[in-house]
Amino acid sequence: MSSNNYEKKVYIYDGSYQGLMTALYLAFKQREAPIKILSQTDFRDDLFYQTKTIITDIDKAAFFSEQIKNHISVQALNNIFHAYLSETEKLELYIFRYLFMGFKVGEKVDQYLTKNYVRQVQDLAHKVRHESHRLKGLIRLQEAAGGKYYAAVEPDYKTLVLLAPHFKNRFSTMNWIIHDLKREEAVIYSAEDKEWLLIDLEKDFKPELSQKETEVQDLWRAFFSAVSIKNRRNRKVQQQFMPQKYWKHLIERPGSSQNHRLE
Amino acid sequence: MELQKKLEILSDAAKYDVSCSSSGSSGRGDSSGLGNTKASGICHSWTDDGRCVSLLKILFTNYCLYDCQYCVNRVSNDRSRASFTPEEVAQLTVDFYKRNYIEGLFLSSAVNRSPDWTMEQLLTTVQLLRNKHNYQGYIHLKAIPGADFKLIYQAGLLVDRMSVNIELPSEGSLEKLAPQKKKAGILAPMKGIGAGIENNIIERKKYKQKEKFVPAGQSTQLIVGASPESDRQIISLSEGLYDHFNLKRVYYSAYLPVNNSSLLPALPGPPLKREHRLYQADWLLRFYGFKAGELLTPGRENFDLKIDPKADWALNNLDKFPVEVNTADYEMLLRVPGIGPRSAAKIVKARREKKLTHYNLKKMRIVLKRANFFITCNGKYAAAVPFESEVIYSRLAEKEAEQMSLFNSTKSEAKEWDFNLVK
Repeated sequence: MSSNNYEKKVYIYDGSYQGLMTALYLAFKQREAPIKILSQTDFRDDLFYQTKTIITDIDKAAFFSEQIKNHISVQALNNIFHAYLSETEKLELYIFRYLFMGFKVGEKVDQYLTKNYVRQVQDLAHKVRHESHRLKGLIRLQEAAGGKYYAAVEPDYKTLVLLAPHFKNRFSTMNWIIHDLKREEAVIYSAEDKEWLLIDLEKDFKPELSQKETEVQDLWRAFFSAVSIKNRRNRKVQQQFMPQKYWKHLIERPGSSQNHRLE
Repeated sequence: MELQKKLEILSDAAKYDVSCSSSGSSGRGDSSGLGNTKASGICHSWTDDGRCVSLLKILFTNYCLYDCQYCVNRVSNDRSRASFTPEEVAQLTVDFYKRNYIEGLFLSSAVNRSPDWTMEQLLTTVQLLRNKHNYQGYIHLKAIPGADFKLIYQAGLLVDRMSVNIELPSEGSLEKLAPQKKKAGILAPMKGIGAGIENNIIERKKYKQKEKFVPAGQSTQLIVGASPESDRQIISLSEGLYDHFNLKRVYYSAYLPVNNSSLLPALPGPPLKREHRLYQADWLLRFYGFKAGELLTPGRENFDLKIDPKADWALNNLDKFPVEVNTADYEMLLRVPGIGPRSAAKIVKARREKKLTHYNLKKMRIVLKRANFFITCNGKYAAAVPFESEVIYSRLAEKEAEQMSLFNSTKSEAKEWDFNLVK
C-alpha cells in the first residue's frame, strides 16, 4: 500500500457513521491508504493532497459492516462503532489501521495491544461505553405535565444511541425524551409504539413540569442528604465517581448533607 | 407524620447498613411492567461520604424491641421514631424508580411488635410492589431473624436478594452486645435461604417455568471494631460463609460510636483503614484465588494497616517472586501486587503476539507502581532497588499510619461462630 505523495488523498465524508463506513469501504475496495479521513465539518482546505468527497451509500456501509463481522469479529465492529461515537480527532485513521490489521489477522486483532492504533480504538470505545454506563445511572427524568418524562444531558460523547435501548427496556411503559443539549438531538420513546427515534431538538426546549414533580424531587433531595454518614465524609471519592460536569442536571445537590440535621 | 419527615428518619436510620449492590440479577422485566434488572448493577448517585446510592435504602420502621449495644435504633436510645405503611414504601419506590433516581429498593426494618409481624409487613410491601404496581426492578429485602421461615421463603420468591446480618464476628460478642438476638435466629434463616437458592437452581434446570428464588443471592454484614476479634478470625469467618452458605457478599462496616455503652470500646474515629484492608482481603478470597489461611496465620492476627494484604502476602512469600510476565500462568500473574484480573487477562492476551517489555506494559495501561517490584520482563528487573523484603516494604508502605491497633491482645476468648450446630 505504498504510493508517492501525489497520489495520497484526503477522504471527506459527511460525518455520519454510514458515511464513515462508506469511506472505509471505498478505501479497501480501491486499495488506497488515505492520508486523512475527515468529516466535512472538520475539513479545512488542503494544499498538499488531493481530496476525495465520499457520497454516503447505505448499502455499501451495510455490506462493509457484514464483512467486518464475518472476517474479523462482532466485537471489532462494536469497537469501531463506539470509537466513532467518541467524535475524537483522528479516530477515522485509527479505525482504518485497526481494520487493515483486522482483515489480515482476523479476530485476533484485539490481542495486538502493543500496536498503538489497536489500543487507541479500544480505549476510545471503552471511554464511550464507560460514559454511557455512567449516564444510565446519572440521567434524571422529570415528569412533565401530561405524564411524559423528560431528561436533559450534556455528555462528552455521542452516547444517546447507546442509552436508548437500555431506557427502552427499563421504562417501556412510559413515554419519555432524553435530550442531548450539546448536540441538540434527542431520543424520543413512545410506550404505544414501543419504539425509539433519534430526532433533532433545539437547546431551548424545556417542557412544563407536572404538579407532583417538585414534591417527589424534594423527597429525593431529603433522602440524599439523610443517607450520608457524617463521620465518614469523603467528598473526593464522591467526585471521582460523579465528576462535577454531571452535577448540573442532577436533582440532588452533592455536598448538601452538611445541612442535614434530624430533629 | 409528614412523608418527608418519615423518609428522613427512616433513611437516616438505615444508612449504617453498607450493602448497596444491585448486581447479579438479570432477566427480570419483560417490558410489560415498570423496570428491569441489570446483571452489572448500576449506581445512580454518590453521597457526600463517597458511597454509592443504588437502592432506596430505608427501614420500614425504627421502633425496636431489642437493645443491641452497637445499634442506633436500640430501644433505650432517645431518637425520633417513625413507621411507614406498605403502600407508602411501594409508592415511594415507584416514584423514585420512574425518575431513574434508583436501581431498586433495599428494605430493612427494626423489629417491632414481633419478628413475625415485622416480616409480614415487609412481605406485604413487596407483594404490593410486584403485584399491584407491576414493578419489575430490583428488590433487596432483609430477612428478620426469628421470623417464621415460611414468611421468609414467600418473600424470597418475590425479591432479588435477601440478607440476614450476622452483625458480630463471633458468637461470644453477639451474646455480650446483642443478648436478645440468638445465634440460631441468625444462622438458621441464612442456612434456609442458602439451601433454598441451591434447590431452586436445580429445580429450574428441570422445570423452565419454576419461579426464581432470591436470584441475586444472599449477603450479610458484620461490624468491625466493636468487639475484640482479630482480622484473621473475621476473614476465616467470611471464607466459611462463602463456602457453607453460598453467600454472594459479606459486607464489613467500621464500627461508628453511635451509642455510649461501657461494653463498647472508645474509638477516636471509625476504623476505616481496617475496614478497607478487610474488603481488600475479601476480594482476594473471591476473585484472586487466595485462601484465608494464606493471608493471615496464627501469630499474625491482623493486617498491616500500612500495606495492602496482597503486597503483604507477596513480601512474606518473596521466594515466589519475581514473576516473569512472559511465561507465568494467569493464576500467578493474579497474585502479583498491582495486577488484577483485567491486567492479567491483558497480559496473557498480548504476550501471544509478542514478548512483552516494560514499555509495552506501560502502554497497555498496566499500572507498574507496585507490580514493578515483583516482575521481570524477558528476565529484566526494572525496579531500581535491591530485591529485598524490607526495602520493598518501605517503598510500598503508606506514609502515615493514622490508626492504631485497638486491641493489643492477639488472643481473644470469644466463642467463634459454629456452622455445624445449626439444624
